[in-house]
Amino acid sequence: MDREELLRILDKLPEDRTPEEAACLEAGVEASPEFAHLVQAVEGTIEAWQEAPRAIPPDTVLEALWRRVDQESRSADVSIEVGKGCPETGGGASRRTHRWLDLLLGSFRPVMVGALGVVAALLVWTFRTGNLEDIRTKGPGEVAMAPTVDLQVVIESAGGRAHRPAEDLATLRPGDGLFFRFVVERAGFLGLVERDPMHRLSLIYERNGLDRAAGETVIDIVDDQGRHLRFVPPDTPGEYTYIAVASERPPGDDLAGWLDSVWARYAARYRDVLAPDTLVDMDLDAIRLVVEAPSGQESDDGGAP
Amino acid sequence: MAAYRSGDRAAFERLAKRYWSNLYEYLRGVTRDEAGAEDVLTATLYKLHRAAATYEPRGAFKSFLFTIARREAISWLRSRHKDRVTDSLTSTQGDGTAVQRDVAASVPGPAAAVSMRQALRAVDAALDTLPEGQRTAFLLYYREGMSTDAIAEVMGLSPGSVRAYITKARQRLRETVLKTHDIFGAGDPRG
Repeated sequence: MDREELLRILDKLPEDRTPEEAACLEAGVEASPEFAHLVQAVEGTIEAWQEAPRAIPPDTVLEALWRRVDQESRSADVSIEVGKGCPETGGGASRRTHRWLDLLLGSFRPVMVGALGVVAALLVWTFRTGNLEDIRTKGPGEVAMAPTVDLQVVIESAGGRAHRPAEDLATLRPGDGLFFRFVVERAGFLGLVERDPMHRLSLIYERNGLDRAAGETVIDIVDDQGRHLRFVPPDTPGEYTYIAVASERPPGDDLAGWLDSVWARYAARYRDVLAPDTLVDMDLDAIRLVVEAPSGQESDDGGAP
Repeated sequence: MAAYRSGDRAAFERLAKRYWSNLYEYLRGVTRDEAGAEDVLTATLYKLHRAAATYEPRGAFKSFLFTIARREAISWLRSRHKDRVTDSLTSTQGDGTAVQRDVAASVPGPAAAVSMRQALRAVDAALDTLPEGQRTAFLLYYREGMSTDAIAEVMGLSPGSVRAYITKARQRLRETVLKTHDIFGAGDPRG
């Protein structure tokens, strides 16, 4: 009996094994003491691990949670009190103090509001650009290397997505598209964060890897709604452009026409690389992906994931 | 969640404690770090607290909770660049094999303790080498006893993909067990 085949069956979940496979496994166990030992060891290991006592988290976790919640609540209270003054305060001296405070705060209120606005804008700017920082700090043609992955993300030199100012992100609407370009040096990995808190195009790179069990190299992306976007990048080394398009489906089935209208908004210059016969509609739940053929190949070479 | 929405903090604690050890166990398995698991658990509960106002009981609450937990764990892993951790679970304990020893010691009988210790080591070693997705699928399936459908909901994948993840994890575990037991001579089953 083919040992490789037996091991393949052993790796499957018991409920996924066909009756024939189960019979094969049983026969293999009877025929080979070594294999019987292996089956017993694997199943026994899983069983023993399943039964291991559970670790208990310390109560400090809940304490930390309530501390954080209370702290937030207090901050909110303080800001409300400052805004409204303290009408319930008793005592002459206190009342006088608060009158002065009210006067002071009243005079400076527009300044304070303005200052808070500036701080908030800075925070928003920091937050929104921070996620793109690794890419944004690179110049045209430079290569950003994600720390735990093997695939290089090439910065689009023609003023692509990574170089658009953060303000432009707010102009994206469902139905708009964005793209990123990367090089497959070898079948492997990709690390890229696209984040746009205003829209559903917040593609947060999650992980990637070689899913040999499925016979695929896969890239999983999860968006801010917790939805997964999984696609299989091409194994062929080359430069690719991936386009993620917001969740609204195109009107009718005219994908090429719809993409044309998408690009017409702000990426018309890429239309020439998006010949319709190179497009693959992945139809991935809420988000759609389109992939162009690797550069340097003819468009009918595919490039489909 | 409805009770908590109306301000009943004890209701939230009851809810949290119902899934307390399951969540922690899962997060410890994914983060491979005790302190990290605590941090992520706190963050998960905080997100749950924030979600209380808008929560609508559409699906299973456990799936909802684990979806949050997984997202937080992924953020944590990304922030620590620990997707491929090399530290073993026990290395975070300061004392080499403290967790394994404690767990093993709580199992009655020396033979059972040895078996448990071996199992924990083997699974631990196998989990260390797995990508987060496979690790999550394996942990939720075997440790949390969730169905592949429920795991698919948490992970946003198809049940088939979840099965493929678990299969891959089993394969890695088998390879680890193979090395440990030195089955098939040199430990290579393909020989």
